[in-house]
Amino acid sequence: MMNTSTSEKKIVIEAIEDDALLRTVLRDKFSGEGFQVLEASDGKEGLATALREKPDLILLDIVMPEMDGITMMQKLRQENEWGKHVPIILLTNLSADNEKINQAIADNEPAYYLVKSNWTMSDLVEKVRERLSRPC
Amino acid sequence: MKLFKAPIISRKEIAEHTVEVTFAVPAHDFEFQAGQYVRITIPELTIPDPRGNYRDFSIVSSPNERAAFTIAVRASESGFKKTLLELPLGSEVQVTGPHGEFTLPKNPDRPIVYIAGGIGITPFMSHFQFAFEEQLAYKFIVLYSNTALANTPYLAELDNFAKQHHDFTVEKIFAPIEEKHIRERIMGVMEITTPLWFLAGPPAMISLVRKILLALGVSEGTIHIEEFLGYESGSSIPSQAIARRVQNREEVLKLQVARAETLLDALSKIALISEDDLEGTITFANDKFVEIAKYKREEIMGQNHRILKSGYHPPEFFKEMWATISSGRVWHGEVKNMAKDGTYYWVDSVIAPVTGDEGRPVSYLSVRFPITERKELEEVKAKDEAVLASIGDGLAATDEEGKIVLVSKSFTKLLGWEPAEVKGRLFTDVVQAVDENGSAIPESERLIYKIFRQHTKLMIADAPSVTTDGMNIYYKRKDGTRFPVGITVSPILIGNRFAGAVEVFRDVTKEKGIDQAKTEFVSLASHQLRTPLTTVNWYSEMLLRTEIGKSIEKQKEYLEKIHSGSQRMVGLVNTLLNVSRIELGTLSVESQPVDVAQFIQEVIKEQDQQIDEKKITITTNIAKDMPVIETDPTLLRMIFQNLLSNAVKYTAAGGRVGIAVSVDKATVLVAFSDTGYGIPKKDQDKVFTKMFRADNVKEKGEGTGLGLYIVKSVLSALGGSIQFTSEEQKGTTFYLTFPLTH
Repeated sequence: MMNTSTSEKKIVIEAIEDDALLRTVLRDKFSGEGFQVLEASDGKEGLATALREKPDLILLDIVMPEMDGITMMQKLRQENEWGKHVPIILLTNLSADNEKINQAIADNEPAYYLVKSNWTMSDLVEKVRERLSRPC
Repeated sequence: MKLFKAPIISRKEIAEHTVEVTFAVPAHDFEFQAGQYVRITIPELTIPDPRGNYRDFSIVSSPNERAAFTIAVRASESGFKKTLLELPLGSEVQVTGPHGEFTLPKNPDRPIVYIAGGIGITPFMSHFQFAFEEQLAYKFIVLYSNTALANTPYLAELDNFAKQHHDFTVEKIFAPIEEKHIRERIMGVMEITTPLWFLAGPPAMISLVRKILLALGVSEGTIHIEEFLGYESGSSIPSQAIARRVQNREEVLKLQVARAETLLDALSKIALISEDDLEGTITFANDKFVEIAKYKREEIMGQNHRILKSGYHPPEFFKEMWATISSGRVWHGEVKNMAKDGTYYWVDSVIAPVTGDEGRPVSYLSVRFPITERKELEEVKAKDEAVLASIGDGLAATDEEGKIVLVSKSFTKLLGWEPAEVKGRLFTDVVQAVDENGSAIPESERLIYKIFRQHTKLMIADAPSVTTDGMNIYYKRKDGTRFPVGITVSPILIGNRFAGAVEVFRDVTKEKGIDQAKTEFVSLASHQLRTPLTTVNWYSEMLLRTEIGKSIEKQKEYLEKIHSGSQRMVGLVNTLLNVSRIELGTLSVESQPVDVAQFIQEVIKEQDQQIDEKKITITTNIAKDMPVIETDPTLLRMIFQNLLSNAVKYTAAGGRVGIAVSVDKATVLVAFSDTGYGIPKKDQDKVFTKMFRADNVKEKGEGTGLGLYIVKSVLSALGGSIQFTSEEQKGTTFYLTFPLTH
């Protein structure tokens, strides 16, 4: 029973992004690739959803109203054992030379950092698959 | 001199065998000078006295006391004294006086040393009391000798004087006076100045002290003596002693004249000496005077001293001078005079009134030292220092050891250190330098140190200035706060000799702020441009590759999103371009007729999507009599677009936005209100500043901080202005005015 349900269950990712246009296309793309997509439009909402639904991976924007992505990630990592280990890919348009962000990534393994405008959606999907195939 | 009857009104024992006797002055008109004496005659002695029925006594009391005077009497077996001390109170005696010249010198500028033996203290007591009552600035040094403590009068009074007046010291000896006393206790004063000496007491003591003083090098002319003869039998001054004193004075006078002449000759070599009459007419001028003033003697004699006036000093200067000398006092000051040829000369000038019998000036003697060179140097130096002190940047000059010798006013303004607090201190001690983390910069890394090393250690003669190019250096103020500085330090070279360093520094907070703002702006703009770019990229990717099989509707939807992303990017780029047009001053105005009502509807329509998303209600209220206006529609659009998008962005969902337009004569009035988050009070004066975003909306979606800056700048290009009222959590209303036709 357990095995059957696990194999049938879709991989769940959560897209936390305040820009509606980007959120929509992320949902369309990942749904089309066979993922189940949870959506949230700011860090606060994203944190609540993540803790409730426990997605397999989180795509997280950084600059957002209410609660920014870095704060959300730090809160999630401190919250519980699941939160400590769920892989997070920071999707941002901030430049990679931001010291604070690099430090946050180093402090909050497993976390990755991608500049949105430099990535195609297909490469992003590949990245997510590659990340999920790795043992935690 | 007076002759009057005076009743004895009191007697008081002031020490063993010593009694003060006070007499009333019935007419209150007895005038005398402190230190003078009177002759007391008792008409009928009750006890016979072979020496007669009168004696002379110095007055103890102050001349200010008009109703009575007091003498001090040593009790003895003489019939006169016994009678004086036994007569009933109220008995009258005959008084003649005052007599004597043992009075205070006119000028208090030399200290007076009093050497008193026993009852010889009495005239001095009158001196002291009078001087203190009149607050005259004499310096008194008293050496008081008496054979025993018990019969020494006025000890308490003298101690009191010493306690209350710092210019009064008293040394007491209860033994016959000896050379060592004078040497040890009072000769110190000779090292500082030339005092006057007043000696009073029994003849043996006076004679001894006088000898000692002369042996110690005291000039005879400075010694004044009052001998109290018949000391053993009472205090009295027989006429013999007075005669001897006068004889002494004549000798002294002769000597004094000789010395004065010698002194005058010597002085004449270097000083300008002249004498003026009471009106200021020159009656005497020495060679030096004639030489410096460049007049011939016959030209200057008989002229008023005014002829030398330079016009440099204000009238009050001379008024004060005349007030001083005409009242008999010496005037001292520096005067700028004009010579015959119109050139100027400075003199350090002393004018002393020559006083006649009644103490009034009869002429004025002047001694002047030429000081033109010094004054000119002083003026040049003062001017140089004023130039340096007025430099707008912080400036500090040091000597070759790095100690501050001069600072500018801006140095004080920037650092809070007053010049007097820092002069003579090491620059690096006073001005602390720290880096951006607040850690002290070691002395060896200070710029000023580099200058010193180049010169004093490396011996580089022409080492260049050093500056803080791109370095982050902060200076600490006196109060511990700090500010970023830009510094230039240069060596001070006098010829080839290194004479110190001069540092010029300024507060670069503003420049740093601008740099920071530019960096932040570039980063913000790039970040914001990336978002619509990503939208375009991702949606076109969906269309081109993976999702090609999707429905036509989906494809249409994706194309719309691409278009919208592209529009956002165009909007951002336009905003940036508008700012640069404003900054470059290339905003051009092209007027054409605009129908305001229609225009506003168009602007609202452009933002329909955002308005609908947030369910904002927009109310427009255009005055019925609104004419067609003449203005630049592109610029006006920029204003309304920005205000509307701000209102929508910074108003919570379900809020209201109102636009009211009316006209007053030739002016269009617009009220643009919202029920939004409002602008915090503390940020209200900054909202029109470029790249400023109020704290309460920083988290509320993206924004460049350029909107209101553009609105204000563009509006002023249209000849209009903007104001607003705002309350947090209630909303904001902007009031715009601009001309009906431009």
